Amino acid sequence: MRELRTAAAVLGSLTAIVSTAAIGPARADEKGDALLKEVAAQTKATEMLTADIEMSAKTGERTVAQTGKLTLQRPNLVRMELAPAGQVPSFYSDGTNVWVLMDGGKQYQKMDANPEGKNLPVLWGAPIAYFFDQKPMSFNEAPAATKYLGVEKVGDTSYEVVEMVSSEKDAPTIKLYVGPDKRLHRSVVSIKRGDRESVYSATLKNIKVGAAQDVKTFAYTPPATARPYERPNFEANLVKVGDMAPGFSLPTPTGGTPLSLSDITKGKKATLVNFWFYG
Amino acid sequence: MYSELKDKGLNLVAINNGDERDVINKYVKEGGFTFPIVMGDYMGGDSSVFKKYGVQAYPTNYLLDENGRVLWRGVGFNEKQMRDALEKAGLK
Repeated sequence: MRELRTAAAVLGSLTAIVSTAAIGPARADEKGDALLKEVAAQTKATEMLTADIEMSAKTGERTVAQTGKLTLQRPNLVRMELAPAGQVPSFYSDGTNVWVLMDGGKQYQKMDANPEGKNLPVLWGAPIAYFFDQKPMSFNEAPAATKYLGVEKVGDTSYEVVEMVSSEKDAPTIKLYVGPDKRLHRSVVSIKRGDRESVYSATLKNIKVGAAQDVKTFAYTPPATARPYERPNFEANLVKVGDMAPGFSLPTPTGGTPLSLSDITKGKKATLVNFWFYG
Repeated sequence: MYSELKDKGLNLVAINNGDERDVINKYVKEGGFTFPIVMGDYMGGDSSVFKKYGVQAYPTNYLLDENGRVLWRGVGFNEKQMRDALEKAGLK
């Protein structure tokens, strides 16, 4: 269960990170802004793009990578196939529906495709989101400022790197890597919690651009062996209204005597018991 | 929202899943929280508090009366639902 809740928390926050809002004017960096303007223009002018993609997630000592092939085409057409099955699903948009393959291809979810490609399950894949929506990045709706970091070589490629800086406390850092073609090739999101750091990267390689392909090439049918996804009912196992809440006796973070449910509820008209975690 | 409700007589306990003591203590200090926090026995398998309360997602909230009977419960944060339940429990 601990694995599940960590993944769920991360996916939730990362999806919010890749959503968009306006850049705050306060601490804007001219060079960073100018570069991103070029990238936006170059991206908007691209009809169709194919690339090899790698998505990796490093949490503590463990790194999990998924690689595959990506095709993006305006206004909202996608083929994204990743292996092995993992946190990032393979997904397809034929313009009308988005099909998301989960659980190693055993389940699929079908949703209406946003006409502008804005409801794709890209998670931390900023280069994909950016192809369709070039509004500057944000952190959970708070404005972000750009900071030009300079040139960084990753493998054979030299990128110009721009960092998105948030005024929010504990905000993740996002670095955007711009290729020599002035396209967004790579993004790296870093989240620090105490002395633990998690790093999520998405990298496009062998990018090829071209004229729009026939829409039919984006048609998709899930495999016959795949079942439609049923969202788990998170309330299914909860104690029923009217029943007695189970007792407990649990330690506190400051040490000392454990607290029991009856210690807590005794003499109080109503008690809110909140189950939570920080991250 | 909590401080508003505390003034109206709401009692709160937060059961934490899996964070380390110093992470929780830092979070409490920075938030200036005064309600009790306990550390759930997340390694406890079927006898863990999370299992006993049927918690599958976070946050999960339960509103209990003075005897520990469940008045309301829900997954996710739905302020309206919570306020309605509090009103019903007599905490206006």
